[in-house]
Amino acid sequence: MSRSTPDWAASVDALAGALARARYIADRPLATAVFLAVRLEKPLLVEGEPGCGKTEVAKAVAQASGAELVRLQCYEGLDAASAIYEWDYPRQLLAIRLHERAETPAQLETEIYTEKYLLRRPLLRALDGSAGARPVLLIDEVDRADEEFEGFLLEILSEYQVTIPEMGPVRAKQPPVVILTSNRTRELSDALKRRCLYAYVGYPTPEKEVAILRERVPGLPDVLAREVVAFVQALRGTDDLAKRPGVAETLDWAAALLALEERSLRPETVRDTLGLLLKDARDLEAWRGERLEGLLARP
Amino acid sequence: MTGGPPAPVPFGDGLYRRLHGFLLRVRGAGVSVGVGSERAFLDGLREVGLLDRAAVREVARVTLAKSPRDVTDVDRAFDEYWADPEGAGEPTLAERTLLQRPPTGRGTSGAPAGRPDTARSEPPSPDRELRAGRYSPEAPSAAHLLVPAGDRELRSALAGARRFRRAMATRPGRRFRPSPRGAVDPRTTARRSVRSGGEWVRLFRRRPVAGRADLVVLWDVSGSMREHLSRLFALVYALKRVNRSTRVFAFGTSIAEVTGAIASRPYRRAVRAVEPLLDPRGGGTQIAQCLAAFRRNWGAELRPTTSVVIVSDGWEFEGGRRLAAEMAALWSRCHRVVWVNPYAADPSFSPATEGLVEARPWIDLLTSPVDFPRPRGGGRAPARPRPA
Repeated sequence: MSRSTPDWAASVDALAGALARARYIADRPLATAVFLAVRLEKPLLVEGEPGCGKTEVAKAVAQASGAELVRLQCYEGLDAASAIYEWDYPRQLLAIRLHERAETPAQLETEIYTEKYLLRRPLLRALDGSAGARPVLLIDEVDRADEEFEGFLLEILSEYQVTIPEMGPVRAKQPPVVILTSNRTRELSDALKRRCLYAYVGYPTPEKEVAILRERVPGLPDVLAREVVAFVQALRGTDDLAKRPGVAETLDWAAALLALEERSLRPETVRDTLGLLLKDARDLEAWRGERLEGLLARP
Repeated sequence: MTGGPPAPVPFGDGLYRRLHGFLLRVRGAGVSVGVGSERAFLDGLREVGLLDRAAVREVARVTLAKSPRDVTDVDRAFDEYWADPEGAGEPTLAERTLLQRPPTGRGTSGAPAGRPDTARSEPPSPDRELRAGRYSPEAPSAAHLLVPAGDRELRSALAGARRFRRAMATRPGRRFRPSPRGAVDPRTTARRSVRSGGEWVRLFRRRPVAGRADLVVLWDVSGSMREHLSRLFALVYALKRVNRSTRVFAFGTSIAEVTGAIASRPYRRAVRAVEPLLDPRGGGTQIAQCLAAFRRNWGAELRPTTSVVIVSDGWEFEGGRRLAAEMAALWSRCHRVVWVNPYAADPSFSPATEGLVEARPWIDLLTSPVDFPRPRGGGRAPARPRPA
């Protein structure tokens, strides 16, 4: 790449260290993926289980690099006007009314289709990033957006530019670090995936989850952290859960136990706070009885 | 800032040839590797170097894989190829590093844990053979033979799938498009009036764009379906072809996603790609167990707009009661449940297998592959609400 390399992304190890300083514990595959995304200036598609830290990757990269995080939360019905740009019609109409006597229609048209009347949405703002660190563009839960919206993204992801018909192409001053996340609620188009590097974030190992707890829930007793992780991992290992708890649920639960001043797991407390781990009514109902006792009784 | 990017790692002809051979091996494993991915792979290697085998593997995963399934396929191709790569000649230091066999104690930390489809096209292990035999000792599994359907049959399947899409797998979207017969679009009308000095010369109209709902196809490829597989695959392929977001799962005694083998492929190439994936799923059918596995692994991805199409004859190894419970759970999470039975084309057909009888209350449409999606076997199921 022709650009100079920031210190925090000088190597995979340096990048993993920078993410750790941003309180994100990345394993080697994910650190390599982010490293390549930064160095090759290619978007990174992060897929994986819900609540396992996909969105946090982008936040940590922004924090590690000291750059602005521009976030686009995708949803069904998201269109180019909400994601890229929109003309400020009221101001344009006002300008027309003010200048219609003094200028010809051609002059008016030239006047109203300028940056002054452009409302920048997240994608255009990310391309507009000024000098300094490359901005981090997070396109979150891209699988929630309509397939047609992926078409809008293609030009941005491959060329880092947006074509505005009235003004021509707007090219990024410096390409942002683009991170897309997906929960795989639907298959993304091949065209989109082809433009991206790929990383999968699964459930963490017990050791890694304990380390995450230590980092994210300061003050949590070590014994309690290990018990929490052992319990959550055992819960994930059962095969009849409608929704398995992710790392986010583990963190919430540990924080709740800390707030309740628990020193170790007790059946009563677990039963009372199980709703922080299991977010499905049938799961809760199934696990509040003897099964919970059995799981807690495991060595 | 450091002083710029590291000096590029030069690839000699021999190493480049071997790297290219690896890419061909990855493609042969079913991973679609385009020129862009190939270039990203080589650029990535230049960034991380070639001396760390694990790092090279990570680069291959990040740049060549595009799904969790691909990650496993890339890993397997990596292990196979660099254990015994094509090409002769004395290896260089970098090549010798890559040519080492993988350390046995080291896990594949980047592979998604608990992937449900790891069984796909793995070499059959003794465990798997025993498992298949356990369910049907008299009829051991054998490879399925998918014969491509004729053009006429495929056209018929595509027409049926399009009718199905119009009838069930569409919904009004939130976006609009210009239409001469739609409602007046005040914003566009006002904006265009600017061109005529504020005069409202023409009313612009618009109407909602019909969105395509999600479709999930659960395709029974067990031994009892063997003789219908070719014809049913034409329908499965058509459902994927007319609705790009369709996901296809093959099941028998286990369930695995086969969408990747069908997506973006012409029909005959899709047949060739899917055929080897069906191998381990002959001999016995455990629909309920497979539905439970589907719900467990992919249930969170079902949305209220999802239509589920089950293509099966309804033979159930475990009896009907558990199947009914699983069907009820599935039904409560999706938009419609459609059951395609290969025998339903017979005019005298009525649900007779225990599985189908028990599942019937939770089927919104029972139909046959011949005149799909026309209702068969007693017409449409009663509208919701369902029995408690």
